Amino acid sequence: MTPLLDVLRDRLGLRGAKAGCGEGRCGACTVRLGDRTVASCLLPTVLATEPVTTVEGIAPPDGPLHPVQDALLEHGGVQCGACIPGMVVSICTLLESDPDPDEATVRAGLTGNICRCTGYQKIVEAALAAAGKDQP
Amino acid sequence: MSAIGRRVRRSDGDAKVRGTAVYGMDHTEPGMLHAAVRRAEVPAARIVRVDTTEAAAMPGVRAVATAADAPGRSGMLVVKDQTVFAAGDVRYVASRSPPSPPTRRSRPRPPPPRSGWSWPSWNRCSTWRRRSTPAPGTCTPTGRTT
Ligand code: FES
Ligand code: FES
Repeated sequence: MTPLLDVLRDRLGLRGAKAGCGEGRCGACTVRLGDRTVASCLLPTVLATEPVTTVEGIAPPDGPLHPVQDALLEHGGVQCGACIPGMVVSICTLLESDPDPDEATVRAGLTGNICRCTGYQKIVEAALAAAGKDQP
Repeated sequence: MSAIGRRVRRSDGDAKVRGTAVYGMDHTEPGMLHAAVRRAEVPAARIVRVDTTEAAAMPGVRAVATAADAPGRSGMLVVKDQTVFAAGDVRYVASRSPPSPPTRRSRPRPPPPRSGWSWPSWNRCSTWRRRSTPAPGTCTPTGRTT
């Protein structure tokens, strides 16, 4: 059973989603399926029966960044960037279902996304800022 | 104009948040070969023989690499004993309760010496000295406990 991630990366050339672990632990492969996020490394492609959005589909290629992407850069939430495609998809999906999250909700929403660089704080700040909750 | 004292965005950030940054794993080029790893089906075993003829005969296969092609150690620091491929023994499993190697008492006596015989490598592993249950996160011959 070919995982959705392999189809995205190898067949469709969409290499934003990363094969960080290949076993559902890291979240670097997170994409949106319908209105929820999935670890595409674990999802058999035949089960992807709803529209799939990858990080490449969050902002138009030549257009301005999505507010979440913009906030990640503005708040220094990006270091090596390996986790970022998954983070972007997770945060966007979270904010769509809950446009006004508190910090605990954001942290809970990102439990499936591991970042080895940033320590999460700046990513959480970016997510809150994207939700219009800029902290001083 | 100087960047000093200003808040600047990282220069590679745009590509990273768009998912268009090209990492090593994203690089492709025409004629690129692909590698696939064949993993052991058992958590711990002694490797007597690796038969690669069937794999090598598959259409499109250019090469099959085994431990014999990658001698030496690949690791560093805490994993300095690590080899590229399992060599001699399969001992690369991480599990919640690692299969315990025989304790000193039940450890089989060495068979009569004959050339080419050696202890399985977990017996040589310097990190495997304790007999009690290793603490979480410890490096054991069978992987890292969780
Ligand atoms: S690659 Fe899918 S969760 Fe790590
Ligand atoms: S920025 Fe490196 S893993 Fe998150």
